[in-house]
Amino acid sequence: MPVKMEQVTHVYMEGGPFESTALLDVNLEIQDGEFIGLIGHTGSGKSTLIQHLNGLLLPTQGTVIVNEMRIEKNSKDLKPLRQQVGLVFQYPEQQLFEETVGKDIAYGPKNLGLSGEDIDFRVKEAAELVGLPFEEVKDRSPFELSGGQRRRVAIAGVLAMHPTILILDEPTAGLDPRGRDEVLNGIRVLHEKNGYTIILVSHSMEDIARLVDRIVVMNKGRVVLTGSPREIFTHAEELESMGLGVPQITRLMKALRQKGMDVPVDIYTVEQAKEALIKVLGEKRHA
Amino acid sequence: MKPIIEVQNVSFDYVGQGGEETAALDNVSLTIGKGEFVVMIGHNGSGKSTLAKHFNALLKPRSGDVWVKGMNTKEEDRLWDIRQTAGMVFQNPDNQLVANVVEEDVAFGPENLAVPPAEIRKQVDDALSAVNMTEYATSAPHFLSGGQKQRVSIAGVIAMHPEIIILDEPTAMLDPSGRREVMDTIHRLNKEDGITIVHITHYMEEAIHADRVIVMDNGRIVLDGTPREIFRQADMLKNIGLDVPQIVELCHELRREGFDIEGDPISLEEMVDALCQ
Repeated sequence: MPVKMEQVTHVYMEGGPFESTALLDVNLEIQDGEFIGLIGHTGSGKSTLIQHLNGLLLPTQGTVIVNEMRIEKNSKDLKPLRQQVGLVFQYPEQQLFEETVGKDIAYGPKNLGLSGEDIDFRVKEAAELVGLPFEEVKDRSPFELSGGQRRRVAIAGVLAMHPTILILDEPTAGLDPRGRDEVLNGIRVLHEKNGYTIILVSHSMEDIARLVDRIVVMNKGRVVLTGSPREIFTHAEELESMGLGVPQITRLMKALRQKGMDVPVDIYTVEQAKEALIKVLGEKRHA
Repeated sequence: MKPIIEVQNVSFDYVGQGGEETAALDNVSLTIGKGEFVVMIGHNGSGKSTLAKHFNALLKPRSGDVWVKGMNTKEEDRLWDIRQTAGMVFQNPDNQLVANVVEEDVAFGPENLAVPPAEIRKQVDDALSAVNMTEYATSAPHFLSGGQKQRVSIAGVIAMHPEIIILDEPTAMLDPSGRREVMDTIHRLNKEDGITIVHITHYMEEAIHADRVIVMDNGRIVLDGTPREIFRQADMLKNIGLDVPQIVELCHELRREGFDIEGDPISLEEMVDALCQ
């Protein structure tokens, strides 16, 4: 089992006047190859949680176990952990700095002390994993690329470290619909074809609904709900009271049901809604 | 409707490092009426932010003219009047709050106009009340949520008594409730105070309740109409890298399957009505 959090609590500025508890007694297990959607309003503890998974933050209490490495309050030597857990921050393209796309992706592996050949292989592999036409872009400046492409360069830089777990914090924020689809499809392929364990943090319930196996909902530093999208999105009122929501399609189904239409309410994509409505509206068809 | 922003044959290019010019706006003409709620959509790099920055003279046209309430943005000595008339809110709330206390941040603009202190007090109170942030007047901005920070940014603009507010992807970094807060706030300012709104977004759902949607591609305005007219062009929107709201997509899918759906529903309520007939 790659990830396990046992009674993890994290307190910022402990003992100071601004002490605040960001995680409270969190228990969470994530299986190999799972695609997790992590949701919660700003300040609910999502970012604090993901930073525990690669040791950027250490628990104030409790234990985080990643691929059998135990991380506790005073853990040291977190390098192997950081290599296994790739964390893609918000707006990762702001961290691009090299002259060319190739050099930027190579930065991490270079620092691992790999041979030139190994580095070249990893760079090409990582670029291809995120669907970048490597030969075309490798000698270009990252700043000449589109927003979606730049973001994929940044993700490739993390993949070149060969992590087994990939965490992405709001990877589509600020991208236009095409850029969003490019990035999300790239992530989907990493999960489906390459078996990465993925944790996707997103404010878009529509994106989460389309992609993930399981949703983890955080509120006030606790994990309050976990389940398949179908299960989670039936808790519409609860999610709304936590500053979240359900996909528009789920709201539509609920509204139709209130009007007496016999449609299921555990529906969250356009495709599912179409199938359900075809069944119910069958007689109105004119074809 | 009285025009408040007039754009006539405006072209603009950015000069790259090697001196090469990239056309960002290509002969754009546009009139926005006083009190309109306009949403601008377009993929990254389509020119929408560049155009919006012409509305308060952050950028000036290479050729053509922009008038804001009759003032040409090329007239240096009208610059402050123009910026006071048309305020701007950006994407990242953390980059636009400057003070350690919410009310001081909102007071920053009027202070710089040398408004008398008693008057500033009133303007700040009114502005915070307009965005429902009165109870946070003495809070520190960094303890607020994203949606609250953006509302403080909007209050900072309102304290200048603008007639136009231009918002460049103000919801991109916010969670669902933060987005709702910002959208509710700007719709209320538009309806109750008659402030002209120009809202740039990648969320197609945020365009549904606008008076007018402007679609940009390659530095040109390619579509301009009511949300219903615009979202009828689903294929064209997808061709230029955009999308339609999920409700519109569902409606298209059902029609393709041979169902009659009356009207062109774009909102959830309209879709419910259309399906329950």
